[in-house]
Amino acid sequence: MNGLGLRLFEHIHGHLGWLATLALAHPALLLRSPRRRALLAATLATALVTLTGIMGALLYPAYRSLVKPKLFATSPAFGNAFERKEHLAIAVVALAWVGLLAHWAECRERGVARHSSRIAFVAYTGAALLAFATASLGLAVAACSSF
Amino acid sequence: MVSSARAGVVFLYAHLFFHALHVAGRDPWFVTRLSRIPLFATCEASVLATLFTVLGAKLLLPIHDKEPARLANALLVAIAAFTLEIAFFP
Repeated sequence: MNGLGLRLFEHIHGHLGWLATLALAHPALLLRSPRRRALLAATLATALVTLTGIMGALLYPAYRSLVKPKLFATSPAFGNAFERKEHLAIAVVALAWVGLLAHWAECRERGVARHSSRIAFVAYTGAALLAFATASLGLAVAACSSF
Repeated sequence: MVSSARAGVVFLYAHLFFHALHVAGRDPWFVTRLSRIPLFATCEASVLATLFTVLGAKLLLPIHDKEPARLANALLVAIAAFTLEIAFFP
């Protein structure tokens, strides 16, 4: 992929990241109530965050070779911010899937509903907060250095 | 439901552990063989550790009545520990 393609891909990834952050906040808010069902919101949010994560993983090798050396040479603080963002993004995807599977189980197994709804709530709230941190760090780094 | 929550907790702690080893410059040999990119290698090692642990636990450990409630708290602690480690050791 050439520079223009990488830059376009990076922009799409960044915009999807913010959309995914907002999307994750939706099930996190809905699942505050243990009786609430939010299977569609949870599924769509998890799908969006997974797609964003896959795009990030596809971009990462090019970032490592083209942007990372320049970024660490000019601003190590932003370089470290980007490394933080990558690890947090992995946790976001993992937590979104934990939340979805727990909520899915909640909708099937009524007997354990109270506890699984708390697991889904904790997972989606954690995912939404970490996604906000991830998107903010990504935006700050992108403003400093890009493809 | 219990398995997914167990997987979430184990994955976060596994990632935390492998990342700590990477920061200390002591990556295990099998982790370095998974990928040339350390981030991917850490992630893949964490996924493998999660699969083995969760499948092993499913086969060997019966699910205790109070486990689902405890897992929600364990997940909360794992998220906090993971965030703190990444914040201080990126």
